[in-house]
Amino acid sequence: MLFKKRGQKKNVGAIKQNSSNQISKRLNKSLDDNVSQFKDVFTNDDTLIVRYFQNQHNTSVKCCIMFIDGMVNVDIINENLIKPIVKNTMLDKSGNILDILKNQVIISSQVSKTTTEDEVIEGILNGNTVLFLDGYSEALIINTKGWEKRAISEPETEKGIRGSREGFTETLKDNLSMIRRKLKTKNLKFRYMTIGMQSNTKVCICYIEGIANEKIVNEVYKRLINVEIDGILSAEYIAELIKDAPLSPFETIGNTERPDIVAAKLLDGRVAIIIDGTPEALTVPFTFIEYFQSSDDYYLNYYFAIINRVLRIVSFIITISGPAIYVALLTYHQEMIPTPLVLSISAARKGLPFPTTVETIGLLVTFEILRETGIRMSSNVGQALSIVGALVLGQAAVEAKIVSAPVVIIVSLSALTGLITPKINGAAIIIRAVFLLIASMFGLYGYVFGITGLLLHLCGMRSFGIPYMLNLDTLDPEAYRDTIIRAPWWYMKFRPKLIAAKNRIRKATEGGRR
Amino acid sequence: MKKKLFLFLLLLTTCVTTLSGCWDYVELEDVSIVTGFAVDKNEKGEYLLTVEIVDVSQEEKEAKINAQLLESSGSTLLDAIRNAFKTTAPVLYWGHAEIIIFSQEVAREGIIDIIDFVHRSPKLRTNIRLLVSREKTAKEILESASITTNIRSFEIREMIELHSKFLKVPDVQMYEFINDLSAEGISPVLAAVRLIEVEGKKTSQLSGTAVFKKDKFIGFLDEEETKFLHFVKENCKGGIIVVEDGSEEMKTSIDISKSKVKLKPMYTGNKLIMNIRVRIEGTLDEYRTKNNYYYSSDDITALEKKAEEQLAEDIRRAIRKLQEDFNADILGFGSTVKAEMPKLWKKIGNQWDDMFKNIDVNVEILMDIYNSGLLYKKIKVGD
Repeated sequence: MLFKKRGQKKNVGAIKQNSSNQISKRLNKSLDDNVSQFKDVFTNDDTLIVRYFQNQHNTSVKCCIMFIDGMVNVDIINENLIKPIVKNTMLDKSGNILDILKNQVIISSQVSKTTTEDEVIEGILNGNTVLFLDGYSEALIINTKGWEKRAISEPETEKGIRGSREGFTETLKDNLSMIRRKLKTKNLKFRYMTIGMQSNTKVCICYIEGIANEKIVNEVYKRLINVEIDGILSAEYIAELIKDAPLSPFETIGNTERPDIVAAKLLDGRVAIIIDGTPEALTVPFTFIEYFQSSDDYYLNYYFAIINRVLRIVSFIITISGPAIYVALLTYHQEMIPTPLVLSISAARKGLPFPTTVETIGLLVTFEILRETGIRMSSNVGQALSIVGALVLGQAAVEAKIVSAPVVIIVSLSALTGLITPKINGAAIIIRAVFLLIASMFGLYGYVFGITGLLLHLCGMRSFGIPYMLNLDTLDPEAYRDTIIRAPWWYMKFRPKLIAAKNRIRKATEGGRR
Repeated sequence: MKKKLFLFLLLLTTCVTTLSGCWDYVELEDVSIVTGFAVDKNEKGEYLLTVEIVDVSQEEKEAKINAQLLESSGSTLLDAIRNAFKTTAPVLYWGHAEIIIFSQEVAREGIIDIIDFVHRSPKLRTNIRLLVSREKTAKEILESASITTNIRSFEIREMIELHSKFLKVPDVQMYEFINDLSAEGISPVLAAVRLIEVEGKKTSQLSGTAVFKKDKFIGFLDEEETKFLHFVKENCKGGIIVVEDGSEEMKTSIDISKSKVKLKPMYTGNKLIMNIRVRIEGTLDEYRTKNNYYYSSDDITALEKKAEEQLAEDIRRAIRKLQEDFNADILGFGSTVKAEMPKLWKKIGNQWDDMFKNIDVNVEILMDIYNSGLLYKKIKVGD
């Protein structure tokens, strides 16, 4: 009951649809009326540029263009819009001059006609130029978009050894083109939506028809339509509004900055949501094992890939259990520690002021502070941080007999293993803390209860109708081909079940022999 | 509804975290780790407990680990343990105790009550090693100096593990002792330990077997006898046999890599005969003879024959000692009869003590020397 809030959202969506159905104001025939009308709309917005001009040969053809400074490519406006109209010699003919302009004069790949105020405003805000002609209650919206944008570069957070070096940028169109360049099929579908009452952000649902499960596509569409929010500045805004199990520390929606990963997930039958203004794409459904899959798994030799993937899974177990097991063994089950180890730990702990639990929690918090500081601070002080972190907090604290050396080792180990899969680290911090608390209160019994609770939680979750632990809860050997191992490509004949509902055969064959 | 659920969860968490848990919580630095203890009896007839604890201290970088002895006495073992607390601030922690040494006096009176107490207590391990001291008291063994480690008990335990491979002492863990004690037709044994002097310091040395009848100690077997009986008792993977090759000075050592034993009882005319067949594989390791043994030569066959005869005789002698001196069936002949001839056992089981004395033993050894190390003949001495 705590996890389901969908019912309320639908009502909100209904209100929104009503508001968008209101009939928008029509344009006037008079040029001056139109211009003053939009000047009113954009009052106190000094970036709006209004430019009147006339045809050299027929001065009765009075035009006005409007655009927002900085959102347009001025060269295009000068060369392909103003120049052809001003210099044109055939505008003295009778007939619909606006149509002549649209079809024979303006040199642009995208020109559309509109009669409503709303479309004009939307066009201006999106970086288009709007052209009004005196005597016509219609306007032309001409695509002149052009602004400064970041070049395509390798994403900092998801680096790989081999494979594509492209990363998404903040521009939706470029991002879509990167996906399209990887999947040149007519079945690759892009459906636009606009979300955000203030930001009017363009969002694109992307899937491969025939592979993606239609139910999932419709579900994504339905949930996106119901989203009601002021603005979207990052993919997380949308992810949190549409994801399953919103209170869980685990993600039920994947995100990536790499177009090759998105392409791979589309080929598995997943659906991608790409959002304008953010270099992140969301992919759904997201299953637990995807945390441990990396693009390099598929680009490197599969033996190496299996080793790496097993390392990641083992690391996750170590990072959530390490401190808990250490505290449980040290304070309740001393008989389970090998005798030489118990003696050396006992010697290391002689004369320490704090109990083991307090010591461990303190050091874990210290590490998290260091980690967060490392992200927030400017890179110039990096060296200072490593000195303070490693020397002062690590070595000096041990030598001053504030903490014992084994705890430093355990905390560093769990920190290190936590960073091998950065995307799950957020959940790992919480689970580690919970496990540590119950283990310090109930020993290994508490830890086992914690593990049980975690498994129950994970097995109970779903992502867009797909079980979160998909392919991990079965003994079917086929299911394991891309979970804890990465089978060779010629062995992965099927797409994951349930996600790619109908068209499951991948048809990967070994040199055509199979 | 949601508010109620929230309040309920809040209450639950508060109660769970503050009112429960932690009852057996103990910090590692607050315990004294017991590594082993010795059980004696004092003049008043009370148990005299000598407990070895570890004294750890961190000096600069490295940890110093030393042993300390605590003594206490009491009318029962638990009483003695509780009395030990009078002299220590930290709690004694028994989870890592590795040996218990009994004095002969205690062992002769029967150790079933002590074993029962130790096994009953959840704090002690059941794989703890039990030993009997050959000296007057058991305490002396713990007081003796360690050669290789700082902790006497750990050294003795490691010695047992290592030496039992050479067959000279039995490696008996507590649960094995209890199993033999409670089974029919087998008498338990324990390792024996004594003191020797090395460079003026007294230290302890493992030395043969302590034989028990029921739970009462009755006598010792020396190391050689222990070794011979080991071949009959179980399959071995080590040990050496020294074969006298012709005269007294001419001796050959055979390093045993594998031995397999088969016991086959036969009952004919009110007489029980135990056929023992031991198959031994070994390598020729050292010889002080003029003979030059080639691999698979006739000489080797002759040596094998000699070794077989000699070992069979040794085993027979050791079994005779068991029958005549102790009348204790530590080899488990009785349990073999019980397994092989259950009907017969029903008849004779209750008079097994009398039967065991009179069993005839047939020992057959099959020796196979399959290599002679890196050399195939003796190094030639030239002029």
